[in-house]
Amino acid sequence: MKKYLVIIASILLIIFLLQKIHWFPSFSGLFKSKPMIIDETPVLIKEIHNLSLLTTISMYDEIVMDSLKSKHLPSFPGLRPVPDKIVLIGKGTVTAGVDLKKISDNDVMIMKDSVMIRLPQPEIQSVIMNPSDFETFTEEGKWSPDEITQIKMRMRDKIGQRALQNQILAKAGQRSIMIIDNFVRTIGFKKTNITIR
Amino acid sequence: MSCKATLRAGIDLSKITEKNIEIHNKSIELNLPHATLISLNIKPEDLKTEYEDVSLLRSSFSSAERDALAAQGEANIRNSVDSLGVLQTAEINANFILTNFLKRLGYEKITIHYNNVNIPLQ
Repeated sequence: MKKYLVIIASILLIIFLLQKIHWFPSFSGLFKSKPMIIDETPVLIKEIHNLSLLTTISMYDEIVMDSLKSKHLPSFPGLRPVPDKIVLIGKGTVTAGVDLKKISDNDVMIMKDSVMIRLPQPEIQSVIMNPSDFETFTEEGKWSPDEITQIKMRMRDKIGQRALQNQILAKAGQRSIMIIDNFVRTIGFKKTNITIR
Repeated sequence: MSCKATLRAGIDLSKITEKNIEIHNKSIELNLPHATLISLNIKPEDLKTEYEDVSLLRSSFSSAERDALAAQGEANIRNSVDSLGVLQTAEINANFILTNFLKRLGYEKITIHYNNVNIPLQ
């Protein structure tokens, strides 16, 4: 009997020592959720487009959006099922500028050391909200990936609208004029006249 | 999960100064900064759950868990930009656009190099 006790004590002591030097998993961490890690995934290029975009401004914004969804359960007087709720926080970046491809020969006039360029109207080039830009503040109930995608798309539209309200296009136009003006002066023109069409 | 990402690469024109340009009559030589990744865009609608199998002992994937997985995919794409050849393609395209633009401005011989902007032309 004493012999068995010594063996069990020795095994426990060895496990304890192995845990101390992290060669054995701790019992407290046995039921903890493990971080999810994806395997190394191949990245495939499907299309390459040649762009001529001059990006002149990028605006950063944050948005919080909550959504409620009623449950399809019978409600009784004074006893209503609590709706499912989700609150997402999203960070977005809106970029704007001009498309240099839209400059035609008629938009450029040169006389000795003077140049006149008419730039196309500035436009929003992208509203970026990547997976790492989202945070789930509250998630109650069952939300399908499609439902969450719809909410994220609404958030992205809202960020785009807010950028427009903050005069992103006017600012992009001014910056485009400044950048092209600096560039043509740097390449040797003395008199410049850069405008937006 | 699968996702479609749009990578946008290009050169930063605001980094070009007089030091990076040499002009002799109708010929111009530009020393441009290397192309960099300007943006990575994964639209929410382009992120698809292809297959989901959850065991009995686990609750289904939450929004936060799906985002955490997708964020790893996003980082994976960002880290593989160099090997995808996107930056080289961006430099070739920038060459083409700038050459056309400078031809319109009257230059006949256009030479473009890609180097560190701070290194003066030889």
